[in-house]
Amino acid sequence: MTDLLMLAQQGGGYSATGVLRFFAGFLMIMTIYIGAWSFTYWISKDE
Amino acid sequence: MPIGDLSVPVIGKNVVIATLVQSHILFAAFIIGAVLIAATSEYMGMITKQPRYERFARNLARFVVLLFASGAALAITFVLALVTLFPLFFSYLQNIFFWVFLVEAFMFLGQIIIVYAWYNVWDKLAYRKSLHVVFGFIAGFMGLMAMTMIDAVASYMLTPADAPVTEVARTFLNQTMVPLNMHRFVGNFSYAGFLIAGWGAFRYLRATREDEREYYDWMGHWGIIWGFGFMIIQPIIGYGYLKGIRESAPDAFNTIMLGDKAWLFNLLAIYLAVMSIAATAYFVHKLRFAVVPMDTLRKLAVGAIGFTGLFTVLNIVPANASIVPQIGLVFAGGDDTLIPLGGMYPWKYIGLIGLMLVGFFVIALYLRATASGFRWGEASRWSQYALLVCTVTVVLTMVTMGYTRETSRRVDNNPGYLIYQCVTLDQQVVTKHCPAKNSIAGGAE
Repeated sequence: MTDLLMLAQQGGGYSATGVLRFFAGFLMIMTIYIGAWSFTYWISKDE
Repeated sequence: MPIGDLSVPVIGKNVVIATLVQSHILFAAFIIGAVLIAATSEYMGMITKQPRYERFARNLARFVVLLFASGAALAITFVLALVTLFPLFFSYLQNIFFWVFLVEAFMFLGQIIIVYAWYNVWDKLAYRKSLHVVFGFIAGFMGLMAMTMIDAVASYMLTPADAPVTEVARTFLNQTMVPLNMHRFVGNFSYAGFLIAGWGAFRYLRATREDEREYYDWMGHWGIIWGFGFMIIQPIIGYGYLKGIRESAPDAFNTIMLGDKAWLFNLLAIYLAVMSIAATAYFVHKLRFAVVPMDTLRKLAVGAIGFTGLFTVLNIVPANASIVPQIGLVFAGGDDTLIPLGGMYPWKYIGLIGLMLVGFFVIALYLRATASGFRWGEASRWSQYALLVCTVTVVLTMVTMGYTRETSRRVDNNPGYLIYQCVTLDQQVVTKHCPAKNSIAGGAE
């Protein structure tokens, strides 16, 4: 795990690092996206 | 510490920007599309006197008002991150596009003011409906103008104009600005439409009252007309956009269409296929509930599903055996092994044109049936799952396409560019092949 994190701090490119960063970015986008939609739905709900 | 030399551990600073921008775009595109769809729906309600249009428009306007905060917060966070992590690059952008950013900021401000006013005076202007509808369209127009301004910047980053940056018209109207703007204009409607359809499906599946089932069944139908109707225009606009990239940034074009990242377009073709087949299956199902029985139209629509599948296959066959080299998905000699039916010409063109023609055919059939009406509230659960599939897929499409455009500037990463052939990923200005020469850094042309 430590090796992977060390590797991830080096440059991007067509490597395991690039793939890791791609999925990390995708995961963060989906987290923000679903979180903001859910929050907006929650504040807009009629009780 | 040298200016602009900050780094972000583990994920790197490029991913920080990508995450914030992609998240922002997912909200911004929805807001622009949804405001215009809501204003159109309000107008439809005024003309047809059907109360469901009015109910839909008002609820959507309310949701947009609430969602605006998330989209705006992400935009501000993105600008802050850009200034912090790429200060030199941001300075160059400010030098080139100062007036564009200024107009964009005022359009954004105007959009906020008008959207809030539009929602708040709904009852007050109940007897001056035409005026109220105009509020909605002005809000949508301001959103479109803000988008147009930022499109000038985004397109310039990929295809900088062959002129000094002081030539504002050529810089603004660079080679891919108009196609990108058209692509996003149409995309906003399609994306918002599919999301609305998905929301309608979700609520329909949970509805217990008959009137709720009727309303949300109709909402799914209304959303997919926008979603699918605008989606089928995208291939031809996307072709125009790619043509512009090929002529002005050929290495970037090769990277995403023929090179190591061509798999992104195969992925897009799969998404298009999923949305086309799911939407057509929904239409076929819905035609069963037409007020006037339309057996012939329904049989034609069933045939259209078959043709959609056929043309889809042509679009998703990879060009060669190097499928996704980044994760080692390469077989039988990689680049050197060409796969039958995988070539761009003629197969991909046949696939895309075919998909569009079948799409137009199906939506025409469906609109024909819509004119005589449907029995609402009787749709099956499976038809609603088809709408939900479209919704999830359109989000993946947006994210994939955003990544594709931005990654194309990297070419082989030797070096990657922030402004194609002008500013490298480490924020250095290079003038050798830069169309704007030294003017990017404020030097004499």
